[in-house]
Amino acid sequence: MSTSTNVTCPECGGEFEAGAVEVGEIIVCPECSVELEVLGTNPINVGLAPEEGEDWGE
Amino acid sequence: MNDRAATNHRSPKLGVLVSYLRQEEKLILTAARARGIDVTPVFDRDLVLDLSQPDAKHAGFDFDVVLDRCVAHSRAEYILRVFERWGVPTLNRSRATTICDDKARCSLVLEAAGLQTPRTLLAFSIESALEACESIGYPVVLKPVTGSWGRLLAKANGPEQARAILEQKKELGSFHHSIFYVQAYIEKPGRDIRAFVVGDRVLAASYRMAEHWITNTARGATSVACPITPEIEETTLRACAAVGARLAGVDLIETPDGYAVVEVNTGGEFHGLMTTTDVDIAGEIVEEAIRMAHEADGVAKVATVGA
Amino acid sequence: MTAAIGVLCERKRVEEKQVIQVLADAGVPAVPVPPAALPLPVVPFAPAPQVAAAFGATMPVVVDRCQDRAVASAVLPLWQGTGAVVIGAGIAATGNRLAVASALSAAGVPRPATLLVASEEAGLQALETLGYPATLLPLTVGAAPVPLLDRDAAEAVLEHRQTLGGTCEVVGLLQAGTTIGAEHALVIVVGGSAVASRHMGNETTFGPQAVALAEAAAKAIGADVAGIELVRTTAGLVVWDVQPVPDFRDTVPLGDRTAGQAIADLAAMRLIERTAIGASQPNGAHLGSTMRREVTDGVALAL
Repeated sequence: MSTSTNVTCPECGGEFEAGAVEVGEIIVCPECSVELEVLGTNPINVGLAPEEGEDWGE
Repeated sequence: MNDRAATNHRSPKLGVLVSYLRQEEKLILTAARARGIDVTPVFDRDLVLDLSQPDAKHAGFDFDVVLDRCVAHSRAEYILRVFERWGVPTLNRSRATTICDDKARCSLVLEAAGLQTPRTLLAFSIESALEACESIGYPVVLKPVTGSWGRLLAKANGPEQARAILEQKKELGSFHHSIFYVQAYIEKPGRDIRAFVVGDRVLAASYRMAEHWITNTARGATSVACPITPEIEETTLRACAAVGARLAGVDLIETPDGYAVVEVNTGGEFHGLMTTTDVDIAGEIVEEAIRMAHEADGVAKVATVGA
Repeated sequence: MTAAIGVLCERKRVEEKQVIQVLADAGVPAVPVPPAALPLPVVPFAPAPQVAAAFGATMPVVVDRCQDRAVASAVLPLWQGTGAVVIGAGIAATGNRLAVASALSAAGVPRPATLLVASEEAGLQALETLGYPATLLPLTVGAAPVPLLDRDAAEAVLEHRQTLGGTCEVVGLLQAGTTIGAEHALVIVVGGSAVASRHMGNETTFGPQAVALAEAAAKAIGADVAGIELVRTTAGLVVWDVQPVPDFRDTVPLGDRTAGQAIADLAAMRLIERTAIGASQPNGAHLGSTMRREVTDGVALAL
């Protein structure tokens, strides 16, 4: 099954090809540099990535 | 053997960890002095703890037992751990304070021990917390996992209200406030029960009466004597055993299915309770601390003899 | 070609792209200017060119599209100090909601019943008067309004704001009513005219009265561009809140121009005015009406 991985950035409206991504993956909009989280893949759907929390780390 | 130890050895030195002195701590210091015990208030703000020292003596502390009465729970947790590492018995043990200072940990331990507690869900985002609220059914209670004195307890009567409250936690609070603790709201008969435990005994219990759904005495609830029924005693002692507390104020609510344990407070205040009982609570706390010192001393002696 | 118009924005979002694109299509060079990326000299102690140099260009006209209003409050006066014409939301650009509400009230623009509260206790007392539901509009720059649907929610929200945020987070306007379930719309006003709108809550039946109200509100706060939130309450149509930098991507044009086009037109017109003043009237005297018309026509032609 082939699905389009063309993404519209919710921040700047720019369109780009996301490639092979999975739900939960963070991608960067090549146009406005905002970080986006893949929310769905069929069809592809992205939202703004969560902001970094104070207790996040390795 | 404990009794013999108590009579044969010097009076133990008692350190009382405090952030400042409340009525309770003054009573504890007075009770200790009245028993001829060498007691020192230790202010958490003054402490410098050298983690590389092998024991309390080397670190400059001469205590046989340390009693935690800090209101600053996070400080107390570290201090107790350090004194434990140095071989000084503490009341309470850090395990108990660590569990009880976090409502989620405490609920988990109480549930695991088979005690009845209000249904509680944990979530980590606003959307999932709203799902948790729906799953429980409104009204729900949102509580910070750390905190006391009835602060920041929130009752949400519907999803819009819950969202407004959750957003404040996320927007204004540290990350701890985005650990969303969602609990079923239990209709109480205008009161709950505070049972006070020292050692293996429920010393006293009181009803905390309030018109408001929050029944903390710190929020203006009044205390009325509550008879210690066998059921109250059993539930309370089981809760303390589960978390490992030997000094605690246990909050119970009456439900159609019996008593539910809401929380266990290892830094239990008893100013409200005192107005309802003749039991010398401060004196009993001091006795328990001394018992622990002697027990430790006895264990040490036995170990020495055995060596 | 040096840029003539700077669009203050952290990132080019849909709105900023639209404005810059419309200007570019008309041959007016415009660039995004990140407002907080660089340290800025303080005017009037530093010569204006230094401020401009810090941004790498001279900007006769600056369009305020800062999402971070705390940053905007700090940097907009500096830009004004350089002599740049700032296209922004007037009092709402750097003032708090109290300043905006006061200006609206002074101009006779209808608003909901409002009390200023500066503590949790005062808030609960105010709600006894206003009743439920009500809404807290914090004075903190950029803070979202908080609906207070009942006493339990109000107690919790006010306590959280005071305990977690400190005193400054509990200071705010308490307004009677809520936007939840109400007729609620955002009207974008540009250069004195309502140009676009969008429903924010229930479907609205706002007509010419809403347009007039939004335009009156923008005028009252001296805004070149503003998002005026209107709500129908039991007392009638009121101005609920003002968004200094409204998102307009989902708005519907009221006339033949989108909000982005209207903002670009206004920026270009101000640029021409500014240039005309600079060239012919160095003292900055106001343009005569004839000249203004010529400038406006020029812009119309250019765009």
